[in-house]
Amino acid sequence: MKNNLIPIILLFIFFLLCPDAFTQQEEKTKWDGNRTVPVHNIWLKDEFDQKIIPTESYPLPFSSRYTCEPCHDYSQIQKGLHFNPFSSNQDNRAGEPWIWVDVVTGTVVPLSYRDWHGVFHPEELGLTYWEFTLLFGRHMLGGEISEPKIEERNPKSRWNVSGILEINCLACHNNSRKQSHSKWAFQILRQNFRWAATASSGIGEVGGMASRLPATWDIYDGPNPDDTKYAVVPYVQYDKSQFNRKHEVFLDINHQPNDERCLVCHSVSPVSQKQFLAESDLHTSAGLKCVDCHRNDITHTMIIGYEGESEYVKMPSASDFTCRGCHLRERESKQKKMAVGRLGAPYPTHKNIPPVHIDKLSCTACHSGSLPKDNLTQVKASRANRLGIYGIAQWDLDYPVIQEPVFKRDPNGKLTPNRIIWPSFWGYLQENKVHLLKPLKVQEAAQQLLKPDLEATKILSALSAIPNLEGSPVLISTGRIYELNPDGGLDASDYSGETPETKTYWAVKKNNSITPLIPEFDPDTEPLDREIEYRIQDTLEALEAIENHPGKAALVYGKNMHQMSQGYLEKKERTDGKQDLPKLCWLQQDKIIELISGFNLNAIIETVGYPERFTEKQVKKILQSLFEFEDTETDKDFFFISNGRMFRLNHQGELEALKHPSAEPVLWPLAHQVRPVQQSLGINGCSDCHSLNSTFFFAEIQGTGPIKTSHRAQRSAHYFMGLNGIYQKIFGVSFYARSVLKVILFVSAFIMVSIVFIMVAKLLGFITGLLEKRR
Amino acid sequence: MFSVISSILIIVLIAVLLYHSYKKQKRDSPFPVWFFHGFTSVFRANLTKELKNSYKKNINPFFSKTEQIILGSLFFCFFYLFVSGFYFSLFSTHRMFGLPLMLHMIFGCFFALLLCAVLILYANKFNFLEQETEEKHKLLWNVKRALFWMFILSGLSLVATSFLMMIPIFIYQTQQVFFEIHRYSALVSILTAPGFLYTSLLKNEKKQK
Repeated sequence: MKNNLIPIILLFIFFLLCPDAFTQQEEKTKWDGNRTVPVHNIWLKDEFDQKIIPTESYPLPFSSRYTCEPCHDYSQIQKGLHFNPFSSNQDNRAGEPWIWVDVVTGTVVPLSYRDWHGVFHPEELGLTYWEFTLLFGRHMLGGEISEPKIEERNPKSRWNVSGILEINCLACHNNSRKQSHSKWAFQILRQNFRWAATASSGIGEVGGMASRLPATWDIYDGPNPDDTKYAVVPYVQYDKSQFNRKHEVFLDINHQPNDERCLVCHSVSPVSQKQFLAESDLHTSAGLKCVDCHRNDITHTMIIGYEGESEYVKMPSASDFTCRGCHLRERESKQKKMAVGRLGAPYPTHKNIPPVHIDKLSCTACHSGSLPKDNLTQVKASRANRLGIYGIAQWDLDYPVIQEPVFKRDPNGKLTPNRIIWPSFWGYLQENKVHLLKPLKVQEAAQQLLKPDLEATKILSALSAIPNLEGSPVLISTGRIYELNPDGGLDASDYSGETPETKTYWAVKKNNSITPLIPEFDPDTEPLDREIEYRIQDTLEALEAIENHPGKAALVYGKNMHQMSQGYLEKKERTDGKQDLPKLCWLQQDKIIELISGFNLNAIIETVGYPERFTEKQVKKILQSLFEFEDTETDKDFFFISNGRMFRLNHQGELEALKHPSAEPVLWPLAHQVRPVQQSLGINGCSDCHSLNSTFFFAEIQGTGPIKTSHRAQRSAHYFMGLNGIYQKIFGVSFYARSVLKVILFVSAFIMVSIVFIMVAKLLGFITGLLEKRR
Repeated sequence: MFSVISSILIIVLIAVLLYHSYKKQKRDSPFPVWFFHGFTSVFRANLTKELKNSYKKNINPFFSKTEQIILGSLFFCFFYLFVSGFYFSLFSTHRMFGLPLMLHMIFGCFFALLLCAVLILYANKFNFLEQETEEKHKLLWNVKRALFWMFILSGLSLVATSFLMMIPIFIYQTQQVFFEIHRYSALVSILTAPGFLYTSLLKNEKKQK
């Protein structure tokens, strides 16, 4: 008896000590049922859980954790989809990966901490949490990897300087128009992690850059009074007008974030679309907000809304928020079969759509994203193409090239529209295993090879300094004009003027008119025209001002050569030929060399003004430079993945393009923009998809990447569907015969009905005695 | 539900026909032994020879060449339609799709035409005003006639629902109803066709006697 009591007593003690052990975790402040949002006149708190007094000198930035924690369970929120890159890993359904883009090296690497097909784990590239946050923090909301515990911090990181990146609650829930994502991005770039939420909220202004501070600096060190210009410690100046006399601040909190807050990170637009022509999503136009479907509780486990989600997240109500859940009133959970359509969503009639389509296609296949065309539609996405960051610099990128729609089977076996990117990166094969190279390492090895336009930009920058130029210097070659852009790169435009005899020449562009930099003159005249002489003199001086110029600047024309000698223009007679037009060049030990090397000029002609960055020759040279850079490791087989192919050097040292699994594209499903019925796929009938050359089955999908090459992966749309192309062609053709089938069926049915009718009539006649039975 | 119902009914039909055949042959051996013997004899026998004999005995004397072509084609179409349709219903979680569906539609059209021809040829023979002269065959004749008309009506339903599903005026739910009617009609036709053939063979045997 005594022994039997012991477990009961132990259990009693356990309950006494741990009253919450068997209770469900709930919100700290329970909802009372009222649908209003409480006015948030609250104290801001810093990362030491101390109230912020805005009038103090050097106040700290507010901490979301300690400011919101008194009412909202931060540890519960941390589990949310947006803050936890390891969550939602179990359903094996891909999402949009983070894409590391390095334009200089042409790197486009899809990354994710989730185990999605085709993407790389950041650790495979040696990316630490710190580096990942620095790369992608611009579009992250903080939490998890961005606020690592002390023991998880890498010694090479600078968390002690930057601070951790807490979950930025206001990024979504701030209703104020002052909430600025751009400011958030700038603070991330400056490594001002702990200050980012304050700066973006509009409550205070942040100055200084943590990136300029020494790695030994710590928040306890405070400001540095000795340096007020360069290594300025980040500081906050709170907008005191927003605080009351109790030092409380009014936060305009929205329980259900506005769409604009979501679209900061989730905007997708076709590249060719004009802003004024862009349509909003159908549901948005109907008055719904993103969060009306994509809901969450305090754990911030967002409902994504795909079919089968309720089974994975163990939340039956999730199925109410799928397309079918709302429109067909179907519930995936088999526990209860009931009509649960929300807000009276229109019930689709799907006239003329054979039921097999509902089994084989997801709703989004016909109703979402861009319509299939001969070629895919290129789109830009916020996170991948760095959209929505507004400042003096241009933040958005043309890379990566994201295209849609590519139809692929989802885990439920239904065809679903996807977005696609083709990875491109440098790496090496070692024991048949693919190793990626960080862009920085490639830059170290390849250096100038990656920037063939550098020579031209240096010359054009130098020529801009010529006095009385009355225009901007340009390079003209093969019918195109190359000029400097504000970012220090080259822009290309078509040249419609008279084609010069020489392949390449330097000119001045003024109000769209082009004049030669050195006009034609009689080279044998003595003395030269004063204006011509000054122009030659100024040009040669400008060229010689270029840092590390390869030789002495000279102008050759006719049988003469002009060069600067002790501040004067010197004219010499040439013995090695005659130049018909004035030509600028370098003199290296009396040898004439071109201002721009043939290799670089060819690369400029091939790539500037085009989406591609490299020529095949460049790639070959870069691969050679990688081998030379790593001469100690001879077993590394360097390659460049691009355009769906692996480019590597063969035994003869020539570039070859091979198929390789790591060159395969990465896809993830799309669901927006949702189009109305009138714009859905199939609205024009079966031939929208089932025809000989239907874009649905036979759209051409080509590998994209930074190399200008004819070697690229080419797939037809049906390849990704796992369907046979020949069969689909035959099936498409069969639709031409469909009307014949209809006629046959109708005539047959008509004859049969007629005969049956006669038989029934006869039978009735027999029953009523009107007809006599035959014997 | 459909797969359960159709599986049960098909098994019951096979069992009834086998049992009737067993009873008709009046063998001393018990049913399982008879069944096993019959089953294994299929593998032992020269199938081509058996078929030829059966053709000479049961088909050639009773049908003209035209009739044989029509009925043979109808049998072939019906067999494909049955195999493709019931394979997806009973053994697949998907509805019919792809090449089987395309062939199903083509054979379905041929089936409609052939069924029409059969109706034209035999409607009068199996009409309800026609009486069996021999009193001892009256029940068999009525069963056969009923099975014929059931097969025709279910065939008509199959053709009509196929046609209606191809007309672009019906909403998804209506199409679902047509689909259900289509497959239950198919079930009726698959139950009546073997019954009709069996009763025809019985009748032929009796006539030959």
